[in-house]
Amino acid sequence: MECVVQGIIETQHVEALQILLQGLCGVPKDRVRVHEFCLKSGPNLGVVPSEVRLLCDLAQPTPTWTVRHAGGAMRGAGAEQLSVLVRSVVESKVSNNALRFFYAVGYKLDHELLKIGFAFRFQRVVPITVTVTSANRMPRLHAIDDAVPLTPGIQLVEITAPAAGDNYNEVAAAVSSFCEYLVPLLHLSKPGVSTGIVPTAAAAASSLLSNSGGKAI
Amino acid sequence: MVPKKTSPTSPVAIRGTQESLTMVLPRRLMNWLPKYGSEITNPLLAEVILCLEGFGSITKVGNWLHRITIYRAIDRKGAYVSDASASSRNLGHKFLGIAFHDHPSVYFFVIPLPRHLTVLEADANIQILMSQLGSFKHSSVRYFQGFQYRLGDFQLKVGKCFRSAPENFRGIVLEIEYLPLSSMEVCRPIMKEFFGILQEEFSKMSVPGHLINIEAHFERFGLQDYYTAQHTALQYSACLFQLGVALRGGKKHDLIISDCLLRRS
Repeated sequence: MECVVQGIIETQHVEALQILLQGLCGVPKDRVRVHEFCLKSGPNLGVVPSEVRLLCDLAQPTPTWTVRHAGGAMRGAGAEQLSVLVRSVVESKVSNNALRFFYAVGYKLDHELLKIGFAFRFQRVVPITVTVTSANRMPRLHAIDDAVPLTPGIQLVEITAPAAGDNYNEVAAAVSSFCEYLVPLLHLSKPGVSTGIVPTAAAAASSLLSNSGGKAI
Repeated sequence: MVPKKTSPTSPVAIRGTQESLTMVLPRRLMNWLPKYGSEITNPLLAEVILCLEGFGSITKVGNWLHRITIYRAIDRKGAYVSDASASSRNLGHKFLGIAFHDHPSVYFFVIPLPRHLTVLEADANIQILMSQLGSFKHSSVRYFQGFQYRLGDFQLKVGKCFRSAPENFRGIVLEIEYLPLSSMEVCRPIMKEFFGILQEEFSKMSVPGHLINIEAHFERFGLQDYYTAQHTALQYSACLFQLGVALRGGKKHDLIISDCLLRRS
């Protein structure tokens, strides 16, 4: 289970966001370079259509593979009131032939992306991960070297934190509280609820850059 | 002197390339073929164990239990996808999920179908992920259970294979692990010699029947000479089908699967 919020930011303000995050988190950023395969169940496979994501982490000296399945979001009045989405998530490290395996058992490639950016992983009441990435599509199958931005000039910001049935309220509160620090630059909301870019971003970015001398640590 | 195992299974030490897969020490699996006309029974298993325990310096070090789950693809109505439908859709609709007693943090899937031959290694929680997908069902579970021994540089597991209740078992298996080396090629003659010694001992003690090797088609599944836990997963899959075919007289589909897994001598 995890708590998640998402938002978007213009690429020109990403450096300012990085400075802000570095100051807030106090940890060095990690490079993100992930080849993501979205696989969907083939026709008439399974009681309901399903989707898994295979993530190949290219930032490691030796690429590592993870399979991820995000289940449905938590529902009900309590969930509605939360400003973050709570959903079940299972992730498992797998060997490098996972794509072959899922093809064999009836899953088809729906789309693939190359996500490039950075992440901050830190502890603030609970472990929190902030990732800032640009999504790139490939003109040809698996051609990551030719990837081009899917949304030029816009990057995705995602904040996630692991949660459990007995602590998701606490985790959601920690994530919401952290989001408030980022408000001048971007607005974060539940995935699928688009809030667009914020009008104060340019001024906030300019202020952050001038205060830091324009350099991310 | 028995050297220490260098690399116990790590949940995060797998994947990426063949080199980073879970490394274990070479193992060889065999099953007991009873004398013509006789059956696999508890007294026979007791005889095999008694004979094994007769080796001078052998020490019992514990119990073991491996679990093999047979997964089958299901359709929108929740019914199993038939062989004919799977074949027309080129679907790997039957595969095995394997949990080893000595590697609790990892799990293996083996697809033993022509055109789909694959061994996947994953963290153990992939079982939860697979059940959440709602695309596959467990059709049945097989267990391998018994005792574990240490004899010099070798570790031995002897036990039985059963479906639901231990008393209704379908085969006797023996696993030999050679502790000092990880290359199968180098270990092969040593294992062969040890196998010969065991066979001779069983024969001397007049245990009815003999051991036969499970020779799995490692190369068909893309496995290399460096022994990994995936090799063990493949050997147990092959053993399961060898026992299954022996018991049921060989259904056509089982024979196709066992041909994919087993190397015939």
